[in-house]
Amino acid sequence: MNEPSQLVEHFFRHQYGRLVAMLTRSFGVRNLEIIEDSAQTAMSKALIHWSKTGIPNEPNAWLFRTASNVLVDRLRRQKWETPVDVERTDSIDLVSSHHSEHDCSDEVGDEPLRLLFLCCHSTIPVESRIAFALKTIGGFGTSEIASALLISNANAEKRITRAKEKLRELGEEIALLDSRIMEDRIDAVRSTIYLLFNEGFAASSGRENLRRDVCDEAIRLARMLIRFCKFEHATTSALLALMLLHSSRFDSRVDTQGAIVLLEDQDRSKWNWHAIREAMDGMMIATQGTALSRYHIESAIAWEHCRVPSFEETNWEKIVEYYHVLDREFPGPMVSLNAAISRGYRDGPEVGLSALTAIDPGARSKLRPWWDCAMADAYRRMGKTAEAIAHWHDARTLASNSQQQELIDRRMDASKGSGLFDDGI
Amino acid sequence: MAKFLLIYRDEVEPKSQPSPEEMQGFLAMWGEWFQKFGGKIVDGGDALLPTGRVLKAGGEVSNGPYVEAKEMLGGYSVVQAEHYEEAVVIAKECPICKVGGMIEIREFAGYN
Repeated sequence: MNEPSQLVEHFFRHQYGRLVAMLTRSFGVRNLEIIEDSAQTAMSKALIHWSKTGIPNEPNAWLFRTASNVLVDRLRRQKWETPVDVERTDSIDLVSSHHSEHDCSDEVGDEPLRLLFLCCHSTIPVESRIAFALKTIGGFGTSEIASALLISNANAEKRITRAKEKLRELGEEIALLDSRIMEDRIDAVRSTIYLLFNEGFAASSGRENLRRDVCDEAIRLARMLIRFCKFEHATTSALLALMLLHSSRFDSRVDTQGAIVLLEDQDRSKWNWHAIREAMDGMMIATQGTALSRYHIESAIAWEHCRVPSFEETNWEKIVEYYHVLDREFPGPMVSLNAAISRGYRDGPEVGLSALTAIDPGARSKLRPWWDCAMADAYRRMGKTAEAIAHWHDARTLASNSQQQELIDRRMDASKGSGLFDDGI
Repeated sequence: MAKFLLIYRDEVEPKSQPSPEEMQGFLAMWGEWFQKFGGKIVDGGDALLPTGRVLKAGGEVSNGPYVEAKEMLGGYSVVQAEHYEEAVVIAKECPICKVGGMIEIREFAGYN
């Protein structure tokens, strides 16, 4: 027996998304269910076949051929039930032979991306888009999605089904997606990709490797978007740069026990400098032209953090400036919070504190427990231990998971320690 | 050298469809198994679909595979080994065991 060749990491996962998207282009969104089933079956067949014979030279072509055959077979069996498919079957051979020459090579087509544009229709809720994108385009299993997004299996299933039902209802087709629709939706696509990234990046409990895969999937989609969408390159490049800069800190933002490590305590030598390099290239492209998006400004901020060797050397002057622009152009509760915190670092904790208390209560409610942590930290820096501890307590009560609680506990202990020392007790 | 049939039994209702990532993991496991026991595996066998018909002695036909307790026949392989002990050693490393399946090991009578 030959040395079995190894498949690249995530081969099946990525191929799954590709198969589904290509078949959906040919056979229509209304057949999505049966298409996904056929892709799954093709992989089961590969499992039996390849384990015995070894992996073929063109595994993706093999999978595509097999999945198309399974699908055509199922549609033929079904045709008496759904007369629409009778006409479809006539063009099936054409479809499969057309694809086999062309799209089965390693060259990945833009179909997965087009499927993402379809699901970013304004009537599909964002959380459904994310779950659908992970399942159907990313090839994640339902339970993997559930454990990466910290939701139940049933909930994940519900979100995916919601998107599929809506897609069927809308009746839009990949093949008919024109550049006008794509231009209309590119903003929604980008923000869906960014939210998907944030879902994976937010350090909460859950399987760390899966969360990283979710981030990588967002980065993969952004790369695809740059490759296939010939417009708004600058903004998409800014988004890619931003995600790369964040992802460079992926390994250092939690310690070996899985506890959150704050930016100021992270070992900067452990940041992924390859990702940072690539992000720099992306930022170069992002600055060509006149586009200014929130991704531009956010990546500039992330870059300010990356470029200095230690937290103490952070250029708060610049960061406050960037947050000011962000707050003016793209306001939001998180922006207000970060703007207040960075002012506290530039102008001292008293100024930070008044900026924090100036955030309106409506926005504040969306920021807990982070607002409470920031308040506590400002008081700690002012030496007002009792107030700091009171806010840590609030934060702890509002924390949504044990990792957050643990982080807050550690901060609370640290401020107690220094507080006692300051009071001379 | 005797021949043994490895009969794979799965749960009737599997927890969920394996994800593509899990499938890639299985593929790697099967690859390793074939690699390790390649000379001993006479026939890699096949998997069985969860559909079926049961034909009884009286000629009565019913739908569905024959299900005993909670398991049903999911696939098979044929291996050669000196004795049951060796066949068990081979079966123990089969991916089926690693994903919670059960393997029945039966020696061929050798009538043909």
